[in-house]
Amino acid sequence: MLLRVGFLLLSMLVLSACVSKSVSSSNETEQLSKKEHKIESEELRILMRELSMVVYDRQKSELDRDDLRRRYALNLADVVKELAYKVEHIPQNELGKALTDQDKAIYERYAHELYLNGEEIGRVAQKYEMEKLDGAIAKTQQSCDRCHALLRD
Amino acid sequence: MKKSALLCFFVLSIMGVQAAEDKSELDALKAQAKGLSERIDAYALRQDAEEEPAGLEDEVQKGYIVDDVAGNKAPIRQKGILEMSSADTVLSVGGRIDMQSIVSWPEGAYIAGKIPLDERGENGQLLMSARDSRLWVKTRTPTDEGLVRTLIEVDFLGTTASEATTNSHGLRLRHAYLEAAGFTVGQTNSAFNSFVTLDTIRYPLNYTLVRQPVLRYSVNERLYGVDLSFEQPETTLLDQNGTIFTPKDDVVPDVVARLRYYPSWGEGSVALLGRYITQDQATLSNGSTLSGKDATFGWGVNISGKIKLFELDDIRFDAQYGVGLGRYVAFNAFAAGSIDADGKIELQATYGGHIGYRHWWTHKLRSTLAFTYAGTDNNMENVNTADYDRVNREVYGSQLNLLWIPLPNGLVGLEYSKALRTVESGIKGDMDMVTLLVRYDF
Repeated sequence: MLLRVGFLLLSMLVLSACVSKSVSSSNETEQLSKKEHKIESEELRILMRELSMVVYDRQKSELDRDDLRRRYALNLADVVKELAYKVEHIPQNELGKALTDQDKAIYERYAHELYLNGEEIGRVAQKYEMEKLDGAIAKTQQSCDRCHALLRD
Repeated sequence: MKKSALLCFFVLSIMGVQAAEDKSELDALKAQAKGLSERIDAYALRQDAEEEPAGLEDEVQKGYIVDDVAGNKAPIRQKGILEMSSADTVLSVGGRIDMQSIVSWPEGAYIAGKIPLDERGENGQLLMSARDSRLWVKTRTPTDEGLVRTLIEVDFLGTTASEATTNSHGLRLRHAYLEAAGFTVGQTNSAFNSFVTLDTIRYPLNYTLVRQPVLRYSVNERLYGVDLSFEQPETTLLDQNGTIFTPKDDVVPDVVARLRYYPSWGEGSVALLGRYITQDQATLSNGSTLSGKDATFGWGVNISGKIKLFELDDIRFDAQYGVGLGRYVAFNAFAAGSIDADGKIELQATYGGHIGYRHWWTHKLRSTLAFTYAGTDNNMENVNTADYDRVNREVYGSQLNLLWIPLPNGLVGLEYSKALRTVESGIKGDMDMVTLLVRYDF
């Protein structure tokens, strides 16, 4: 019995070691990410997280999980659209002085694209097209990334 | 003159034959041109197919693409055919691979009615099992009347096979139902089940887990949902031998009304249960048959919820109380009521609850600490004193785990759980269990 307890404790220690490593890298990424973002949405982050966690809701049937995914996705669509509105109406002085008129036009186009991404997430969720949800979310992420790569300080 | 006429006739005949030969040659040429044209079309189709993205070329080489040389049909780009009843139906297949390694002291199960009462069982026996792996098939079909969704889900917790050889455990039906126009028809989770559940490997001891045939109508809004559910009845009663038996005399479905609530700070639900508990000349566990019959109403309430705290942490809880609640709580460890020698039913109060705190150490690592209690007020005047140790009175449980997400949809976890059971004779038994879980949802 002692041998087994020892083995289990050892397993936990090994797991903890893996974890502490990932903690530090995760923290660094988060700090970096927070430093860079001008407009942050905690709600968006939590919703994305909850959406990815639905798979671990063990008692629910797959259709129940889809109901839950749909609910989170509809909320996510609202938050993305709200964020797009904020981005589109960000005060000019926060955009940076170095931006040319062309840069501003691109920025506005990306803000509008973000809004359309939100619409698409909502449309997919409304129709229970869960197989398209990951793609719709990935497109939103791409819109953000492309805009950041082009215009962020 | 005659000679000239003969010559003319001969020349004309030769010209006629020549014309006929020319016509047949022309026909042959036309046929050749048509054949060439068809082949050109076929080559054009093949060219199109070859210009498809990478991967298709390999399929051509493997012979998966059937090329119609005449060019009458488009190339078939598949190895087999999956035919659906509707062209708009979307079919999805998924499931999970689940491997659990369990060690307990003494040998037992983390289920309210199966916690060992003495130390006779072996200590530290290792049990490894992949039986909780699952497979599901779901469909989604848009119709004029709205979306129709179906699900069939099975696991391998059916007939137990020999662990000495092949471990060929049997399939077991979990869910088989459809949803359309707000109705749910078929077998699935009872609406009385706790809507919010703990993030633990083992189910808590008071678990409200019933799957049964239902006919349900649901209204779903963004902030709330309402369900009215008619569900399969199944009376469970305690007889004089201290055994829970099923009279199989039910006549009215169990009715559940549930309200679900989705505020920004968490989730919650309240479910109300109504039951008509009956027995009609029931056969007891010892084989004897009662002469009388009886029926009475039972009821229950179940509240469950999740409250989000800072970051991603949350508190999850549920609480049940009811008279005649029986099988809806703690895996049928308690009866809905008892029956006397005349067949008269007396319902009993059953209650339970759990609370758990989930903490995220990192984005990939989380823990839950949970405590559970469940108990009942048995009517022991109808039970033989010698059989008191067969009647469960109450259970306590606690769980602590560490769950790690090594890859998306994957889970590795280690959980320690402790359980304590008390029966009506006063005997107590406890058990310690450690479970190592590896799971992947596909």
